[in-house]
Amino acid sequence: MSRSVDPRIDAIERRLVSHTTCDVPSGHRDRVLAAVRDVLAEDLETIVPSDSEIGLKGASALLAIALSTALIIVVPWSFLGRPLLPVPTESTLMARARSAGIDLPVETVATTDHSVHQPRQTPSPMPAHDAIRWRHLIIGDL
Amino acid sequence: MVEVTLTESLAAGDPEAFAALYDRLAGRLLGAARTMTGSAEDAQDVVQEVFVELARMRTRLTGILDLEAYMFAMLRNAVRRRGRRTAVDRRAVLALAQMHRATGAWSEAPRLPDDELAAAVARLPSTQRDVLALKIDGGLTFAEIAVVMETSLHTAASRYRYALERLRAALGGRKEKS
Repeated sequence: MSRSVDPRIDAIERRLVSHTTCDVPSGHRDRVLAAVRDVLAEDLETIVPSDSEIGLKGASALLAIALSTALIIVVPWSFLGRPLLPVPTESTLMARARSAGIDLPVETVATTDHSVHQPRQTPSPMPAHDAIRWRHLIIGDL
Repeated sequence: MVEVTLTESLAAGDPEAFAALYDRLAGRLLGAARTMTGSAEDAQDVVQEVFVELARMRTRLTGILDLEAYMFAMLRNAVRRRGRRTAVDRRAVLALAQMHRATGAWSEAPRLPDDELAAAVARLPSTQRDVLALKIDGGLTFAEIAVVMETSLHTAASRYRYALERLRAALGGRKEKS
């Protein structure tokens, strides 16, 4: 308490100070601390998510990574790599014919870009016996 | 060292630290808030608001050196916010005090010595009333009050002196007991 030259001011100050006894209302402490605990609990829930939330977020992140990887790496490389890869142009039917010893009149080079489903413009002539075996192979009528 | 430990515990979100801080400061905070707002009920709400706010922004406490001054600064800001929200003026505060007296509910009335002095305090400019609350009820030094009110030590001391002089003038010819 400061000291004034005016005794009346000193008296007022003393009166103010004399009535400053600290009386905390009953129940106020519990109410305040309960509110504080609520805030702390809310923050903990926000900061530490539950397992299911982690799983959901993790799955989303993994999906995003997978899609990004596919778009950035796999797709471009698949386009670049396509001409270098052997193109399977031999159909099942032709493979069966070849395994049966039939000399097909068309080329079945593995790396050709010519579709086997499109007839060649200038087919080579087929021997008669091969034609019979070929027909048998196709329709089963011997 | 104790202060630093308490501040660190508060920053870590330890509920016991908040309880310890309440036990240490609640009476003074309530008293200052009551003088600032003129209402015991508002003072309780404001002090609760301060502790809740403290819990929310506890991670920022690590750099705080004077925790008490910090708490009273928060209290003053909370009173200002509340004042803006509710637009309670001094006449309303006095009316509330008179109502409490009429109903005999003095336990909830402003904790000042009597109606005359309470009315005089309520009529003070807010800066002087705040200095009075921080000095008388909060028990802060002028240096701490200067920090709380973001002013100089000299200004804080002057406002306190002006507040007392205004009170003396308001009480007029009434003879003070020495």
